[in-house]
Amino acid sequence: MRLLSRQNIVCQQWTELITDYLEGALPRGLVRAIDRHLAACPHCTEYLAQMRRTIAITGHIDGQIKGEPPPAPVPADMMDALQRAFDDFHHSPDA
Amino acid sequence: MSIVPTPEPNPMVPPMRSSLPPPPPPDEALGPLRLPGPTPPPDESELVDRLRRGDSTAFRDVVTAYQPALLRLAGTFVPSNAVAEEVVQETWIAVIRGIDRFEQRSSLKTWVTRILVNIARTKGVKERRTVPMGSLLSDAADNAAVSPDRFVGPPGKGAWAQPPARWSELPEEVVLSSATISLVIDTVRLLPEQQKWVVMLRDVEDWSSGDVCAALGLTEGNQRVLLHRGRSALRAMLEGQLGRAS
Ligand SMILES: [Zn+2]
Repeated sequence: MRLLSRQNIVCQQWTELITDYLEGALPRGLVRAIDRHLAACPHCTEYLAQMRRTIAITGHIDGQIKGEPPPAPVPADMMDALQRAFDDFHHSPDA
Repeated sequence: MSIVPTPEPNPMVPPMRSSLPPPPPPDEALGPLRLPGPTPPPDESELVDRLRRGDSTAFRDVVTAYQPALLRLAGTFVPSNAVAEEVVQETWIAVIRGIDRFEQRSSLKTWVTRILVNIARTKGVKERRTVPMGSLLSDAADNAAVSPDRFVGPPGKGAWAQPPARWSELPEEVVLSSATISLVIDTVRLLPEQQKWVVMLRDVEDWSSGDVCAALGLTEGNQRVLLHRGRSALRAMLEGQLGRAS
């Protein structure tokens, strides 16, 4: 375990481990190795910042996914049709 | 094929735990954000009872609350708004018919979304349009997060030769410009289907990983691989907009 706790990672490995790191899915020894690498490597620290920005920007596409205004409230005719289906189901003899 | 998922996965028993080492105690969490497991289902028993009893007001409330997110999700996977509306309509019909079989082990929203996913997948196969699937966004297992030619050193263990640019110094108005948002929207639409579902639910709809696994029928491990490929592809595309090498 002592050897494991001194394991090292390099930049290219970090770019494949980053999601597991952010998800908290990595063993403790590997998290320590990554934190040591990040403390010494400004490029990998920037990569982490880029990934966090990517996630934040993706969160902003909410409601604009088709490049159109956010969806309007449920149209009355659709709502009425759905409610008829709901009422029919509950009032039909074999419901 | 039954559209209504039954039985639901039990969110109290997350899959894929055995292959992972035990999680470290909380004070070991230095950098990474520790995400909670599956969200415990809220107490919706009264609402579900009303739906089962045929209470139209409860039904209208649920449709009103979920419709925007369902339309947005469906719209990402089918070729037109019209088909997206069809998918959502069919989802509600399946919900009406299947609510008696809903066991409330997940939230109502997760269950409804699972039905939507199944219907959208079926439609997607039927109406498959020709999606230009560039090699950049392929689902291949050898797809690297960052092109290997950006590194020097042994294969897979290189150090940065062309390090990432400093986006951290960019002003918000550049980062969140409409050009940036459009690029992300276009890229999300081009992601392979599984990656797209995971990215949409995790990073757009802000779901927990446990809920995404439950809705899509994925293990935690598979979900992370799909999330990793999707996010990495998005980051790579954003380099074109926000700056590549420093
Ligand atoms: Zn590095």
